[in-house]
Amino acid sequence: MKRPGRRVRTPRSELIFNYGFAAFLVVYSLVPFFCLIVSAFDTKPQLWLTPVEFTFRNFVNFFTVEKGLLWTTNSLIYAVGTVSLVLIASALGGYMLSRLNFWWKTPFLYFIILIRVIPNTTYLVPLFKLISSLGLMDTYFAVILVDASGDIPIALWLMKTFYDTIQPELEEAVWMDGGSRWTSLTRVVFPLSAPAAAAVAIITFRGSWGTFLMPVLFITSNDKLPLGVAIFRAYITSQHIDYGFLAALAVVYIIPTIVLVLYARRHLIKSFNLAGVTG
Amino acid sequence: MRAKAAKLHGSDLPIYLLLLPAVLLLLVFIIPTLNAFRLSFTDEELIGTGSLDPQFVGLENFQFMFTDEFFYNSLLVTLMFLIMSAWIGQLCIGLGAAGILRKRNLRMRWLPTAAIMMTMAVPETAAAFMWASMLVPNETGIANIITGFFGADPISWTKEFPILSIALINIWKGMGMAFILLAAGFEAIGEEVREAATVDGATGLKLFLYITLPILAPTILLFLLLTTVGSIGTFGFVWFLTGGGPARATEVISVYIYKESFAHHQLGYGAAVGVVMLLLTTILGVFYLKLLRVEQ
Repeated sequence: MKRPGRRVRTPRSELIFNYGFAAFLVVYSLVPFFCLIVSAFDTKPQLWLTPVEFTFRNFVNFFTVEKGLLWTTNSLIYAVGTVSLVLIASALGGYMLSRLNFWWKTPFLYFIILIRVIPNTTYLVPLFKLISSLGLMDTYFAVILVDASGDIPIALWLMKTFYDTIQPELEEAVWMDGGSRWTSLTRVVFPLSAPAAAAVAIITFRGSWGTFLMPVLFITSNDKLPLGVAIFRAYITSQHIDYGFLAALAVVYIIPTIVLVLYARRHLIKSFNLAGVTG
Repeated sequence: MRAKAAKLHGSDLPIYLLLLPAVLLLLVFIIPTLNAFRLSFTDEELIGTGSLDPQFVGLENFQFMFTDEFFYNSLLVTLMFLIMSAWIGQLCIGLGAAGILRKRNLRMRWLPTAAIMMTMAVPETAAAFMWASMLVPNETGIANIITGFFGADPISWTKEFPILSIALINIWKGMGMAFILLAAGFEAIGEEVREAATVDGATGLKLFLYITLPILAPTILLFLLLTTVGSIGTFGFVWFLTGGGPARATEVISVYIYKESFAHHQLGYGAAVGVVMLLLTTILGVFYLKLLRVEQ
């Protein structure tokens, strides 16, 4: 008989499985990073690995010779713009979806996810026509608008499920004291939902920092290109590909999102409970 | 009385308007999609006569689609890619990671947790470049070094195991998100339920199959829906790495549409294929909703 409350020993086989699985995760996740970092610091890198001679030259090139700083700034403009748009729209829209009940709520929530399944190669031309008819060609705003449009469904889901967990009594107390719904929204609901807003911001930043297809479609001036497109151009156009430079570019490119995700990792796990979305 | 009730519901704010910014943003995507529906019934082309004066052709695009063997080929490739990467790969790894990495008696669990979350931070262009270098077809590629360690000869991964290669990348790209979603599901279960079951004598696999899995089912279904939608649209790294080859072995549906629309200039036909994909997935989505209702 086991006594209640006594810790049950984990069987040895389970322990071995757990550590084996954890080791597999580490190897599978990290080996591609290892490849990249080795080439970025190598003096004569190839697409494949050769014995390494250590150098910082590739990074120095990135910031001095090439337009590294400009591309990085551009990537930041796209990312910050997209995050702001998505945050505002989802913080307001999610509240409405959480507090009101109407027959098309659940269909709406699934419609906005399911419609994304059309491969983007299908609607590139209609999208191109829409953006040029709005007169937005070669503007930062064109890319920001389209990327925000793609990120808004998940953001709405996250905000809506989080608002569901905020008790209506808290808001009713404000109304009893004579406050309006706007007061209760800005003074009670928004401050309480900072964790969900942070999760939305991180997920959106991650996506828009990697924006690729939209700038390729809409941006014609070289000075407005983000890092992702710069990497692609460096890989495709040059006859003699400088893999070291390319790898250094990729390292600079992935560092901000990695720092962000690692910094917020506990927080992301806590905020991502979407299962209550149908309620 | 009436005024007080109005006050209680805070009706001073036109609450419907709050959804307006989100709907406006969604329109940026929905208008071109509706346009694609219209295109699918025309013979619009990227260049040439069809671009100047596109004609309504009824169901011709759809009729041609169902006679084109390459369409069926890309459907099959997409399905295999989905099964291998999203439904098996990401789900198993995500579940395993979420279940194991929360155990307090696992030493150094911060390392695998950080590792799996790093993968979700990598943008697609960078991921494609990293994996191109992993899968180099000679004895210096890392994938070949690893299999060589077990005595295998170096091979060209994208030629010998085309779908597996792109599936490996998609798993790698998606497992961080799978981990986060499923770990959030585990958090919601709470330690009490599991401890109660443990006291009743359930351990390991039994605990997982009879207690954890049923409670986690809605989260799993939701994850499957999101990853299906995400994986069907996969285009960037496949195009970058294989271009759909060798011999159309990795020609997933988005690559097929791209080739038809832009290489063969058949915009109307490409749109028709996209519409069929949407219909197929909607059926899947409705099926998923039915399952979710049963679970709840």
